[in-house]
Amino acid sequence: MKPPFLSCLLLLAAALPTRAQYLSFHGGEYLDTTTTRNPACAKTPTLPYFAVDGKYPRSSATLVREATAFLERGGHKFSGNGYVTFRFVIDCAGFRQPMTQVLQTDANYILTHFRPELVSELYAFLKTLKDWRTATRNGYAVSYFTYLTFKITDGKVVAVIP
Amino acid sequence: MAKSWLLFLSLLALARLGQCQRPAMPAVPAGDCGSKAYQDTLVARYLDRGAHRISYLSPQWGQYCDSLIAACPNIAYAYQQKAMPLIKCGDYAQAFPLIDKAVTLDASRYLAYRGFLKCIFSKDYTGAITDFQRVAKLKPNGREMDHTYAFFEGACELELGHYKLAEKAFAADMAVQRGPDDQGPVHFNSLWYAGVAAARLKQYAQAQAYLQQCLKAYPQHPEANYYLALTYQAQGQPALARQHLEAAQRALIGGYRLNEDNIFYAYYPEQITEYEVTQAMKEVGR
Repeated sequence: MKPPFLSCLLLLAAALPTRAQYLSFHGGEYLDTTTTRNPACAKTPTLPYFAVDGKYPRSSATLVREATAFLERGGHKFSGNGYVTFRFVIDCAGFRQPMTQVLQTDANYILTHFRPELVSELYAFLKTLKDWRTATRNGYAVSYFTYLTFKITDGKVVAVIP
Repeated sequence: MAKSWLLFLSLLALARLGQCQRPAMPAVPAGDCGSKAYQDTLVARYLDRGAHRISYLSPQWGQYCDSLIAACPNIAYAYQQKAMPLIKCGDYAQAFPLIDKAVTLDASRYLAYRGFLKCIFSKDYTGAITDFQRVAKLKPNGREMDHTYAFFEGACELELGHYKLAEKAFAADMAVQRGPDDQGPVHFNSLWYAGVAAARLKQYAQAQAYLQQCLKAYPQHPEANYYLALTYQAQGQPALARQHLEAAQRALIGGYRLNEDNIFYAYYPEQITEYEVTQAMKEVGR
């Protein structure tokens, strides 16, 4: 058992905003390479989101409003134009798995890097999304891989895809 | 779960297609890449009897496309086919240069397709409008994904907040569909978007007319019911607003959608979910 002050310290550290740290893995950049095992999903297949209507159940406009409010609470001013995309898996119970790839391009789809603080904030926002659909195929629960892209114009989120 | 990650990583391997070996296939005698007949032979070999027999999420899909490109680098279709799974998985850096190449090789076929991708997938509305206006000069009255170019221009203008331009584009879209005798049927999604544009311009009577026409063609249209409800709410008619919000909710729960082929991959502009309907119901209830 951890001493109480250590637990508090760990909780505090987890809550503090941090710069995005990119982990190189399988030729891509990842924010998290943790793989988890939900025993209930161990034998379920993983399908693409579009095979199971796995888009996050909010309109782009709603997600833009929520992401904008989240970024404003962070108090940072950002700049830049382009796309920040997170790719990950939702398990058969509807939980987003931690392993997350990040892709970044400018508005002309050329690879770039935004300020790590912006990527970090968007990733933190992604973590607040808890209403991922549980997907089924032929009556059985399945996992699915999906993505969420933030279109950025002048440092602001103007669209969320898909 | 471990298997699921293998699948996921195989998807990510799409990003490294260029490093893969070609699928083993009998050698094709070198021919004239400028010959349409020769190009068709290669497309049949590498795509029809190759890539199209496997999942486009398999790394082999890209290898077949690469084989075709290696044999003849001037076949626009090969680039489009290689790009298609990439864009559906959010890999714009890999996908768009391939689409650009397809456009360079065959603008008349792929310019509108790129405009469509920008409008629906990457939400680059300004870029999409530019593409559709360019292709309209090459192919006046052409269509993409069952719609006129003006339809997509209208959707993009709507998202950019240019409501008068959206209104004009949807009027042009509907005029093309009605035809010279003004009698042709208009697609319900054209009527829906025209209704949304009119509502944004606070032309509520016009908006309601369009949205009711849309619902006449497709009574369960969730978005038409939702936006019609918003116009009634704006006009202080909460009972009618609630009636149409309930209809939208029933439709969404019942599985009714916009009826566009690509809604599985990305939300269309102004598309809503049950969440937005629920939020609007709370507003009406206040």
